[in-house]
Amino acid sequence: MSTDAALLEEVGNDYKYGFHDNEAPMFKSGKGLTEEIVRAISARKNEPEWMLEFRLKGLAHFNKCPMPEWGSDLSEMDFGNIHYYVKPSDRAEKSWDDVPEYIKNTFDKLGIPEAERKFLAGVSAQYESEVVYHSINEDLEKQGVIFLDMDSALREYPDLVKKYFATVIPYTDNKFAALNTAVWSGGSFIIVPAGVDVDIPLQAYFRINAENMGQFERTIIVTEPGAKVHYIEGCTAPTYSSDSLHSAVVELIALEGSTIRYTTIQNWSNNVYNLVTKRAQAFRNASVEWIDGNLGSKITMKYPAVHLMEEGARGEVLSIAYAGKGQHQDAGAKMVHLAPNTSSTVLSKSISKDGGRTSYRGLVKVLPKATNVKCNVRCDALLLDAESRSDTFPYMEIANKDTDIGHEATVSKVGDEQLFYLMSRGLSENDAISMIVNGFFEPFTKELPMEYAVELNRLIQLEMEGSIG
Amino acid sequence: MTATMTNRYNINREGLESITSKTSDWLKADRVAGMTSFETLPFPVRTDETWRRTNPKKFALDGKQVVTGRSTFGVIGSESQAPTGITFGPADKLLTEKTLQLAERQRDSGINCFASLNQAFWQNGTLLEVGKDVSTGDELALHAEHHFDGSPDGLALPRSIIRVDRFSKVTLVETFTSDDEELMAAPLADIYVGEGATLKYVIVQKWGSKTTSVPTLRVHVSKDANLQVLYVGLGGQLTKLFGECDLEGKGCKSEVMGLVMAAEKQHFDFDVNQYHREGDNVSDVLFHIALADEARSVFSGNILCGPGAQKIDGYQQNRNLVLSNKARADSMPKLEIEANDVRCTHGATFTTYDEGQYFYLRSRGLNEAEAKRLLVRGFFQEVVNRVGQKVVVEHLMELVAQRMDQSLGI
Repeated sequence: MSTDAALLEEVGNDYKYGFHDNEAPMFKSGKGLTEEIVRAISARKNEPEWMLEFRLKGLAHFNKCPMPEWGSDLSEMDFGNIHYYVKPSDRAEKSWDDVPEYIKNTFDKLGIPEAERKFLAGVSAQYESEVVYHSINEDLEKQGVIFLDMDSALREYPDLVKKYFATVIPYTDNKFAALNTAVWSGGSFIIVPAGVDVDIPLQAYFRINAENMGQFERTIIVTEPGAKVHYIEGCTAPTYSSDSLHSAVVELIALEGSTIRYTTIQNWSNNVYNLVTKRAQAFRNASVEWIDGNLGSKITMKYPAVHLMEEGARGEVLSIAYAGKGQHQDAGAKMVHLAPNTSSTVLSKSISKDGGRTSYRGLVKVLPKATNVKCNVRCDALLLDAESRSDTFPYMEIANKDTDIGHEATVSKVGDEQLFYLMSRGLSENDAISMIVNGFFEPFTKELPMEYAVELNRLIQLEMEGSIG
Repeated sequence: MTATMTNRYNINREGLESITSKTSDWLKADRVAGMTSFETLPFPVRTDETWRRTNPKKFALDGKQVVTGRSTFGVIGSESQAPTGITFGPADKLLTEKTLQLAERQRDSGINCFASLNQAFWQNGTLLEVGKDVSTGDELALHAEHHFDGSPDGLALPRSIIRVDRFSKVTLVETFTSDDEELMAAPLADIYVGEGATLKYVIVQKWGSKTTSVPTLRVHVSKDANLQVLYVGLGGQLTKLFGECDLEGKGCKSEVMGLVMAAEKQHFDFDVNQYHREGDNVSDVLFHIALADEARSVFSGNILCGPGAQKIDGYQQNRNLVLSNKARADSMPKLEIEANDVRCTHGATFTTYDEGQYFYLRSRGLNEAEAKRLLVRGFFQEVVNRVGQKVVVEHLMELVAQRMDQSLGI
């Protein structure tokens, strides 16, 4: 520890233990991004040479790539003012009892019941950049399911990681994918063997807790033929004063006849930049579903994609976005049909309030060889007051005649008739609006496990409070 | 009425001088203003969002010379004379200072280098001025036709200036044609629809097979006015259209429609924006595009609703009938909404023949070609019917039928 710390102290110019009252990280890299920092992160993790090379290539591309000029306004973001690596303890904890008390407290605030913690298949809790707690239900291990944090996976299954790493999202994909490649730490690595149906959702809680600290998870999920898995990623973050960056890369590979459902509930505090690259490849008769909820963050740019690689593949994106004061949710979906007889559905719902801005930005692309494609896109937006804003930017590029593509979008306010009816039945205006909004999000919430649905409804209720007058 | 001159002008200050030396001061001032604007505007590049799908280099102006064409003016339908109170004919002869000022009112949309170039150098074109309370009735539509002879360095710049005053009602069909030689065209139409007035404006684009065109359409719709624009895209090699509609008053309606039969390697790119600058009004965009062979189409529509433009109803639909596996259609129907009490919707579809309808027609004894033809015809008829005027509908469906004979081979 001490030698590593000494090594890294030279790199990080701001390094101090406990520079924030509630923080006790064992190591925190200095602000800013240099080749030294990338090398130090890799050395600290004892990574194989190929991973270091990958990181350096990512860094070079990141430096070369211009900032995107479309979408949200990213001009206030300062890459030099971010910590790229924080590690709270040396190794991933194996048993719940070993998890430090203050981390447990954080989970208490997130409201995970005690009984559930024991019951849940594997809770991998990402606290300050690295997974510290990881328990895998014995059933899963018996079935041969690999469910590890990414760093452990790289140590234990280097060949498997090498086989899948960056195969769906190359480091050249975009500026933030390149950044993630350079400095990633944490994230989940899941491989479900052929024919295994993981019938309980795999969950990981992520949490940013240090000011100005970036989180760069790298998640890979592979389902072998006929396998099935549901992965849930939920995030909350306490409010800090200056901006923080979250830039994950998530790669999903659904092999023949398998199913992946990936659920996210993003509720970062309103100073977080959330710039995420998520992409899936669905092979023959496979199915990939992104269930995506965006409630928090200052700016979110996230467009989960499904590449339908082979016949019979199916993709679905179901997303909701809520933008309050000072927030811009620029979310959407991408469906790329590369093969015949593939189908996809996108349902996007958004609400803007108190001057918040939501945008749907989506792509449906049908390649010349992809005959008999079906795709349906639907976007609904609710504007709750006159200051808020909603945009829709759908892109459809269709190069095949045997397709059936539909796109629909609406923007409106809460219906006066609905409001009048509910109030005539004795509800206050606040309760009535809250009920209408919950109903608006219903297609999304009903896809969530019970505890998430309850939590989400509560969050929406909180957000709607005081929306009148 | 015909205007036949075959002058050529270089695209520079000298060329402009030779045009303006004989014109009145106010027209000269306007042309010079156009030239100044043209000189300051950058030529578009591929990375501009609106040019990502159509290569602006296809509209390169190097070595181009402005050419003149032939314009004819008449009516479609009833033989009787158009009612009084209408001034209709060649813009270069009839344009007045007041009408030009109205056309060139302050604007912050619809400015591009091709429109400015047209403002500076325009040759040929239509002037339509309709006084107060004048109606052409349902039996009659005014018709203007402009023809340009092609040449590799030729640039056609017809300009249409249309002003319909309060409570008048008029229909204008304007046809653009050229021969099968190379030609570039950058038409510009400035339209002012006064309070409570109704204008139906149909553009029939029948350019020759080697013509590239980049038309700009700028519309001002006043309080309680009704505007209907129908763009019938039948010819040309490459078309990039800018349509900018400003809904400036309450109670007005702006309806912009397109009907396109694209075949072979034709390329159509539409960029249509409806700006709601006031509340309580309606915009409606409907584009039906049929694509055969290796044709390609791009539809980019936007409903922009500024803060305070409450109680608007915006609708936008793009339907693509894809008839060939080598055709490609891109659609980007966008919404940018900054007011909350609005209803804005859009839709886009991409389909081939409806199998159920096709099966039904076959079961009634139609052969393959007849059935397909009928379905494509029906696809267009839906749009044309919106114009509602029988003489115009018949005229357009006849043109569509000719085009289908030519391109579909069915």
